[in-house]
Amino acid sequence: MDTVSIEFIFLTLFFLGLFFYWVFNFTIIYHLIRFGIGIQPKKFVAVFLFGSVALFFVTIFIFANIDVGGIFNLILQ
Amino acid sequence: MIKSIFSVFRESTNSFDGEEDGEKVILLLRRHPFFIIVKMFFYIILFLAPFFLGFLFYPVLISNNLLILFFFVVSLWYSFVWASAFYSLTMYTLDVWIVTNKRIIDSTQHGFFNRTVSELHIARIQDTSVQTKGVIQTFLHFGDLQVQTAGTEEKFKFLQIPNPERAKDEIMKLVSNHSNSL
Repeated sequence: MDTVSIEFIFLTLFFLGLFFYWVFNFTIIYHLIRFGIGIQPKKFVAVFLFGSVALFFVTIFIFANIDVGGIFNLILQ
Repeated sequence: MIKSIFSVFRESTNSFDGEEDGEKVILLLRRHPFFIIVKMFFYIILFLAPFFLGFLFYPVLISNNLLILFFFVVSLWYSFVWASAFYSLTMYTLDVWIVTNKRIIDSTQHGFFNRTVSELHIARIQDTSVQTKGVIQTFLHFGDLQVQTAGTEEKFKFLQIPNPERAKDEIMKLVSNHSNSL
């Protein structure tokens, strides 16, 4: 029961973190597109979006391979 | 089709929010890249930090089977550093001075939702002066440009712009053209 709740908390925190990460990223992209003048902001948006998506998938992939219960048991021992 | 999509990365009319009819952008100025390069250097240190930590604690991580957790924390750290670096780049990019054939616009971004835009019409410009102080500014050719208006009004300042003398000449040329056209 304890392990399930720890996993649930961990999962909730992770997805909450991802949500804020994408809100923050959206705000950066919005500002660069809305207020940016010239070519430079467009280049920044392209690089930033590519990097953010790549990091997002890497994080998700690693997260899917984590045994949360096992790690918490190891820490609690 | 694809060529036209990618053209946004090659050419721009430098149009901006609140542009008037017949207004043409003459100069688009930002602070000297030196300031953003210094900040990016700090982010590079943050980027390299997990490598040193990983190297330092590698035996502990392996023996306790915590390597995957370490990679997860590192991926979160890189997401944070990436977003922070681009936040700094965004603030740098949106902090601009626009010189058009009609006016000068100072657009300052203090944060995501804190923006100041002030403008000065060419007709009101009386005098301009350039100030370059210190070793870095002298060697990297950047400095402050002050535009003086009539009366006791506040000066319009272009801070740490590259080649301030060139910008000064362009502005004075615009003022002269404006005076001749009257």
